[in-house]
Amino acid sequence: MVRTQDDVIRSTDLDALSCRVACVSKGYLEDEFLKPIVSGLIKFQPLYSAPNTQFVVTRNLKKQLFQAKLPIISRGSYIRVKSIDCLVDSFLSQHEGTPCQIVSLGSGSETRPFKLLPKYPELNYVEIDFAKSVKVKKYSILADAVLRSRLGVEAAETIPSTYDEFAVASPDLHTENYHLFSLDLRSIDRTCSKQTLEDNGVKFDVPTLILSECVLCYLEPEDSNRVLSFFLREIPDGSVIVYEPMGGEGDDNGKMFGKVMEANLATRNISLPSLFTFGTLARQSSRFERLGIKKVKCLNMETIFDNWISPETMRRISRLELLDETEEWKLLSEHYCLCYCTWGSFAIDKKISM
Amino acid sequence: MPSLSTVLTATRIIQDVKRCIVIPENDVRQLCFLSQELLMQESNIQLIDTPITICGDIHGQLHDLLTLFRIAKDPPETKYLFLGDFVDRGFYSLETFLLLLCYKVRYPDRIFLIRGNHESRQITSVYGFYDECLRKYGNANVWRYCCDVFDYISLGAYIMGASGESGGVFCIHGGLSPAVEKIDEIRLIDRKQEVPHDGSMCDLLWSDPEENIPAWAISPRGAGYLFGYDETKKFLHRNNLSLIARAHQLVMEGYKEVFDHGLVTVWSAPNYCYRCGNVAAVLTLSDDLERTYTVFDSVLQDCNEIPSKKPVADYFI
Repeated sequence: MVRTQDDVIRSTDLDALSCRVACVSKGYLEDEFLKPIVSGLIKFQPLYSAPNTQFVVTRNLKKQLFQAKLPIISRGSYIRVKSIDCLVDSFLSQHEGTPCQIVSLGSGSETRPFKLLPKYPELNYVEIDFAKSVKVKKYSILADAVLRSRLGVEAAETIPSTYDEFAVASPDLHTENYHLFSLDLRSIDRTCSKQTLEDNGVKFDVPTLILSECVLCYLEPEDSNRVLSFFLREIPDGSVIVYEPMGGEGDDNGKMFGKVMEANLATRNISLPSLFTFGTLARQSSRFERLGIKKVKCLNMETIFDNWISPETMRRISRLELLDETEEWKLLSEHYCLCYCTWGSFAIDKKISM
Repeated sequence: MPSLSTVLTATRIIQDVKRCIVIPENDVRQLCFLSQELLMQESNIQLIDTPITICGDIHGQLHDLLTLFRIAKDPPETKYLFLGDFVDRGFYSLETFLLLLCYKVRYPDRIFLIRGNHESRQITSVYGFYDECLRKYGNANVWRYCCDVFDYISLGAYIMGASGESGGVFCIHGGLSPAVEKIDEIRLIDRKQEVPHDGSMCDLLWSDPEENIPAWAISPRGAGYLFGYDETKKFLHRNNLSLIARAHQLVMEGYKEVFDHGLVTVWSAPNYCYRCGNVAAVLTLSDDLERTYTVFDSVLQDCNEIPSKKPVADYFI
């Protein structure tokens, strides 16, 4: 199997998932839907490989998924998940009982729809990702009774179990209020029109929250700007959450962390084209403001960690693991940002401490 | 004086470690026993003469330690004090620690080691050293021998000034403890144990200076304390010191003096964890305690002969 650049980007979802697995096993997070998603991935992802390599592929996959993580990585993954949850809750609580929508770009192995859809019957949840990711997720759902029931999906008649069957299986999954489909984000507003998205269940007339958790950062700045402009233009009442790394700016010192990150990720063929273009909080803010968004807030993860967590939670998570190096945490967490921006009639923000 | 066989063994291991050749388990055992014999005779606070070169955290970054020795000259040419945290995080913790131990048994009065918070069973089982030993030997024996050595490493050092009694430099891995007013009190600690979770021994290895507080505060690390300007000044005055030299905290510029130059943090692991992009430094104190900082950058060399992970750092991606 030839590994394309898209496969490399897809592989980053495995990193994110393995971080969440570690967070759950260490007690930082609770996520009852992680287990079936992980089982599904282990079951279906190897079906992309030739039959005589599936054993090794499965083994490597498990090794990566259950790899031990350092406390600093657990802490960072925890605050990433919880802070986004917090903003998602803020959005949903303002639209409870009325139709609204979440569009998750490059959603990968995210488990939020399983948690949210039964709780918010008026919510339309859209997940967009590469075809390969979407297909694995679709069959992970179809193969698990709990996930199926959370989304109200019927059991599938046949679940592919071989390379050939999986190759011809269709990747998309649609229910009345859950839409999982494949799309290259770079094609939005180019080869992919508003109509195509509508046909796939995206609504343009309800308040919408767009999620980009380490997704737009893999696009060229002009591509990510076009994706955001498109939603800004087509959705009157919208909001976007962007979580991604920032490379810094200025002289060598200001960019050093980002440069090392760029070099380290390059060994895995991962490139982050906008790491320095949107390398600081100011650059992130102006990126959204230039698109015409008025309510823009960008914070680094250090600030969020220090200010969004309640004293009780802070005590609880500090006790889980001994953090050996606080300066390193500061350095790492200040190079990640959470931006949340709104256009239209509502605003999202941290309501209560986590 | 080390015996001839000790000298020969240590010299051979030094050569092998530098070439990244795996040291047989039994040699590690012998070296660890010898080191324990030697270290147990040292007091909790070692008295050291100038000139001396003080190094901060190394964290298993063997290649960077070799760079350090290249720049500041190998022992015995230069006399060294290492402020602890030899192991964890980097991928060559074992080689790093063995190299330092070999120099110690080879030149006992030209190199001094004090204990860092990572020289502990609990911390090394989370932060990499345990896994590294297991990966390299298939069992935990080598880790166990090394941990037994950790228990004997002394806690701090006092570097005498030119005038003898006053104006000296106190060296410790972490910092001050609310339970320690005079350096002499540290001499009473029974150090030959795993690093405790609280108390003076724990604080000395875990505490951090903090510029925004006057006295003491809870440390966000979960062990030790934060200590401020006033407490530092009092400690310097009470003990007739000109400087506290410590490590323990990443400094992007390699070193940082605070509290009117009364305290310095020295950090000797460049591009820490292959991720931080920082430079490293060592501090040389001349006979009249004049401070010279030597700053150096990281080099990534291949070390092909040893089975090890490629240094790939984790990110949130």
